[in-house]
Parts: sequence; structure tokens; C-alpha cells
Amino acid sequence: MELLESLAGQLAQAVRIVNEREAREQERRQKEAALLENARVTRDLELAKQIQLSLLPTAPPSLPGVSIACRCIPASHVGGDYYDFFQRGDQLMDLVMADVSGHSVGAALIMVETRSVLRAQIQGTRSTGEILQVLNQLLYEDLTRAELFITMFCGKFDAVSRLLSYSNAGHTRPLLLRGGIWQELDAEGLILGVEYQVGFEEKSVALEPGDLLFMYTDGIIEAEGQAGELFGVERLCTLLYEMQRLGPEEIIEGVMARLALFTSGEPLQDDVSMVVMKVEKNRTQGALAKSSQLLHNEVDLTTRRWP
Amino acid sequence: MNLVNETRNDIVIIYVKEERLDAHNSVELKSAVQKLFEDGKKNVLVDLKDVRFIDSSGLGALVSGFKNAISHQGNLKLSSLQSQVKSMFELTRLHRVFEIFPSTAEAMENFQ
Repeated sequence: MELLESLAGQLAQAVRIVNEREAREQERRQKEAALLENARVTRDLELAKQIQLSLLPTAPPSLPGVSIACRCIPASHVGGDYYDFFQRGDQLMDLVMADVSGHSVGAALIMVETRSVLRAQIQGTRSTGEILQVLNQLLYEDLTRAELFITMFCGKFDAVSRLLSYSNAGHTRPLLLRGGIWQELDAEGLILGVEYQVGFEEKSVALEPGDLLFMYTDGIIEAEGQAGELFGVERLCTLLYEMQRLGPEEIIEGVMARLALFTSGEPLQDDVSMVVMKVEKNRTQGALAKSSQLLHNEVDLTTRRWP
Repeated sequence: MNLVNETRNDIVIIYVKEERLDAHNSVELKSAVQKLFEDGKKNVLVDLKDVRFIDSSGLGALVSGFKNAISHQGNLKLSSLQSQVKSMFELTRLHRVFEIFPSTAEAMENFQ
């Protein structure tokens, strides 16, 4: 009887050991499957990021009298930054800088949709205000469903008259540096996707030789330092002021280097995009006088001067 | 996310007890506001007194709440914006879309 009991006990223990081993094995398999799935998602997201980056212009257009550089430095995830140039003939160029809210695959998909709609529509539109109005109406339903919105600055530049006309759908205001003065270019409007009927104001400014136009997304000014302080517009302007004699590519490099220093090399929390346009210094006095007058008449936003 | 709800005179006040309203926590605020309107509440006030920083995701949550309010014939108002939050509303022009009040008390009076 004791022998039987002992055998039954041993048998039960053996069954328990086998069960435990199977449970461990199943757990291991589940972990392995989860890791594989995770790797697959990471690979897909990386692929999406690469495709998204490839949709941005590789090189800016070449226009007489100006030099342009552009760059998007993506954060670790896919994002919603977008900029584009549309050249019309030898002297005209439309340019946009935009940011879809949120840091998700959804934002990336909306960015791709925005690009397609814009490319299809832009040839048929006349003014920057009209471009934003048309885009807002075409994207409104999709943005509402996706619970996202877009900020977008849209400019139209004529390389002969050097006139830049622009409208703004709540995007981070581009900076215009002229000598010791900087201005933020803004115009009345509303971010895209909030209301169906929106009017967008159109403003213009005549650029002068030596002017530096800096268009960007908020990833720069919202970058955080060690103590949680923001990079901010003031710091960016001071930096651009120091670098305004450099070429556009060097300016982009300079901003990235200063950002890396500020964030102590921490990975970017948000995409950073920049378009830098410099007006070359070889124009006639007549054009200068005219553009100076236009500047005073038509730009009425924040104007600051360094001491 | 730390959200404190209080109901006074049929108005639900959501106090956002966070220093940041961003990609990490804005989904919770969005869901909370959505649930209130789905449950039949008509008047919602989001108080942002403690919020020092808002990003586009945070704004997105409030825009979503605003659209939810409209589709449920309700009202969503905001109160107590700090300076960075206020400048984000001004930059995006959302201050023309939302009704924004300096304090909870002033917003409450406006609902009457």
C-alpha cells in the first residue's frame, strides 16, 4: 500500500514537472512570437518613415538671385512634417511648410494625403489664400474623422520682383532676418480641419539682397533642454542672426548642431524641418528702394531689433 | 492622467491637473470629453490652470472635444490659460474658435 502511495506521489510529481515544463515552453514561444511581431512592426514603421522621407523634395528648385536649402530630420517615429516646392517657369515658385498634429502613423498618412491633394490642386490656384482655402475644404472631412489638424504656411515667390506673398494656416511663423532686424511673417487664418469655411488673409513682402527667410516646424522651438526649458524663438533668432552671413546649407547644419548641444544629444522628440532661403547680394539700387518701401507698407508683424 | 471632474449647475468642469498636455496624455482628455457628451452632458468646461505646456496633440484633443460638442448640440469652453498655452491658441487662431475665459468663475457665469 505504501509502495502504491509512493508511486502515485512520484507519478503526480512527474506529471507536475511535465506540465510546468510545457507551460514554460509555451511562455517562451509566446515571448518569441511577441518579439518577432514587435520586430515586424518596427521594421514596417521604419519602412513607412523611409517612404515618407522620400516624398519630400530631395533638392530645392533653382531660381535666379536666391539660394535655398531644405532638410527634414525625423524623430524616432513616423511624423507629420511636410514641405514642398512647386516651380512655375523660370521665376515663380510656390512653397509650403506644414505639420500634421500628433506623432502617429495617422499623422504620416494625412501628410501623404495632403501632399497628393496639394500637388493635384496647386496648378489650378491663383493665390496662397486660395490654396489654403481649397486644401481646408478638401481635407476637412478626413481630418475630422482622423481627429487631426494641419498647420500650414504657404508662400509664392517671384524671383524677378523678389516679392513673396504668403498666407498662414496657424503654422509656426517663418522668420525674416534683415540686417539686425527680425520679423515673424504671419497672416490671419485658422489651422486646417477645424472649420469648413475659412478665409485666409494674403500678405506680401518684397525681399532684399542679403535677406534670410527661415521656415520651420515647431520641433525646433519645442525641443527641451536638461531642465525642461524650451529652445524657443528668441534663441533661434539670436542663432540665425549670428549665422546670417553663412550659406543656407551651413545655416541648417548650424541650427542642428546648436539643437544637439541644447538637448545634450538626446533623441529628437518631434520631427525638425527647415527651409532656408537667402537672397543674393547683387541687385540694383532701384529695386532696393522699391522693396524697402513695400516692406514698410506691408509687413506689420512683430519687429525686433538687436541691441 | 490626472483629471478632476466637478459638476455645478449642470456644467461639468474638468480640471486638467497636469503640467503638460501633449502626445503622452491628450488621448485620455479626448476620451473623457467624448464620454461626457455621449452620456448626454451638454455643458463642459475644461480648466487648464495647471497646464504650462501644450503641443499639437494637446490642441488636437481640445479640437476633437469642440467638434464633439457641436455634433451633440453641446458647449465646450475653456478657462485659465497660462501664457505658453495662450500663445499656442493665438498662433493657430483657435482663440477665435473656442470661448476662452480668464477664470473658472467667469466661464461658469457665461454658461448661465
